[in-house]
Amino acid sequence: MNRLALKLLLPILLLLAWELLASGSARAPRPSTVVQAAAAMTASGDLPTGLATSLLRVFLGFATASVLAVPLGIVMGSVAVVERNLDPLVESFRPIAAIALLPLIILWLGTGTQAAVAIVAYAAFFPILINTIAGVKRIEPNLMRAAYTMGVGALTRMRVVLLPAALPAILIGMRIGLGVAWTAIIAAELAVGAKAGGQGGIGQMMFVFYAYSVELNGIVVCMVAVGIVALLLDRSLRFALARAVPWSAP
Amino acid sequence: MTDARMTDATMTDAKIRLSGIGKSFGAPAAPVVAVQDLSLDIRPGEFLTIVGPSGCGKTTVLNMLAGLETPTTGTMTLDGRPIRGPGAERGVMFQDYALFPWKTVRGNIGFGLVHGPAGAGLSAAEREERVRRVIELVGLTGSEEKYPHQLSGGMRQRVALARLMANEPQILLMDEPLAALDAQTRIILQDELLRIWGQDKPAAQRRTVVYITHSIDEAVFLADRVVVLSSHPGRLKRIVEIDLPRPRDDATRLSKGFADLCQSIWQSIREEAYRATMT
Ligand SMILES: Nc1ncnc2c1ncn2[C@@H]1O[C@H](COP(=O)(O)OP(=O)(O)O)[C@@H](O)[C@H]1O
Ligand SMILES: [Mg+2]
Repeated sequence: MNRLALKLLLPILLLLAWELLASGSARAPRPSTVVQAAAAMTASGDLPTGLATSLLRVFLGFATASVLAVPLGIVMGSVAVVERNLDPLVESFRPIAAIALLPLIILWLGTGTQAAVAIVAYAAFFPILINTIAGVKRIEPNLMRAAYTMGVGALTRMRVVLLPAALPAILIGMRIGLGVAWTAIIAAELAVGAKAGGQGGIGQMMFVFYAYSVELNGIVVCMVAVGIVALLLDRSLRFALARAVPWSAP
Repeated sequence: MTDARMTDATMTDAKIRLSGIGKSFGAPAAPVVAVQDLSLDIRPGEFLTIVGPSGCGKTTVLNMLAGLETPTTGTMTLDGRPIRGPGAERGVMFQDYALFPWKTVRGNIGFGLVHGPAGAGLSAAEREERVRRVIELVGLTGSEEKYPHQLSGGMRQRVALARLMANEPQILLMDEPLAALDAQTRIILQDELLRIWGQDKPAAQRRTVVYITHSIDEAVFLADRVVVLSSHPGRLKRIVEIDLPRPRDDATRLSKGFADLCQSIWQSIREEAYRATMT
């Protein structure tokens, strides 16, 4: 109880300082005005709808990335020839930020959900792929051998040895990928801006506040919401991870 | 020094025959020779132990017998047919145990019965019963639901031993299987091992065992023959027939014959052992 109080002390002091320092200016957002704005945006349904739209896009893109990256990573990690040939391709795309693909993607897919999902999938793809490859390559060789000497067939070995052995690394890749996906969706929605109109997610809401209504409190509400969601996503995935791989205790 | 070919000249029905086996690792230009010119007939139903200093190629020999490594030179046959890869008739216990970290003790031990041919024809209840029996045998009752990372080294080794036994392979290839155990447990499991192998049964009903150990006592106590390897490169130094009567028990451990055989083997490797320790 005492430790909790100690933890909260600094944030509370900072908020107080912010409130006092900003109270001189009429337009500068303050904790009190931000809370008011948050309440209004929640009551009107704008904030929940925006968040839900962005989250749905993230989950669609993240699922797409996982479905592509995990099998590819398993093949690349276990078949040296495939890795040798695909690695240059992966390494040349990897440094290209998802947001840099936006112009192409808008031309191809427009500014709606499809484009957003594509951006997210691209961003989440690489961490999942790289971690899956590493996980497969780091498998204790005698584990596969043990199953082999017990007469277990090659496909079954893949399923019952290789996959579970690489699972902790794959899940870490997915956790990183989900974090990256959330960052990417906000950036993509911001960049696409008002074009998508009412269809927008939280990023587009921020753009509208910035470019049209010049509502600073609204922007801060969105930023805080983005941060809280990122934290919740990471924590819930961490929890799920510990449940999914109880054997790889830290 | 005894030549393997001479001792085996009378044996026509080798279970496993190694002829001129060699194994090198690394680049062909600068190879590390792990095993050189090893010829050996392993008899059906024989308990063969291999001793030699650490790094002399014992594990490499076992991996070749398992079909996990291909010899660089020479030929290897099982029942007259060339060994091309692993097979469920040859069960392996690895020096590093190779337990599946995501499986509990029970899951590890039942692995071969569930996913391999060892469990074919057994009902789920029969599998469970066999797993339960080997768990009891190696003294792991009560730890069935633990994961390997929750076990001590000695317990992990017993899980690996139990997994091998659950599969009941015709040929057991064991790499220092009792090395991590305390002295008392080791003695109990040596006795158990001889019982499972079938030392009370006629020779024709016994399984064939190739057993690596660094303990001379253990090698002599268990074996029909002890193969002594020398190191760098691993070569056949000596094959010692152990004619101690069976069944063997604590009386064997205290007998003069036992002590003499241990002493004789120690004499033939002491020089190398000292050299390995001092450098
Ligand atoms: N995969 C490998 N690559 C290169 N060298 C190896 C490999 N496996 C074993 N060796 C070498 O072969 C020799 C014999 O090793 P090993 O069979 O493990 O010995 P032992 O089991 O008797 O301790 C050692 O010098 C070891 O370094
Ligand atoms: Mg070894």
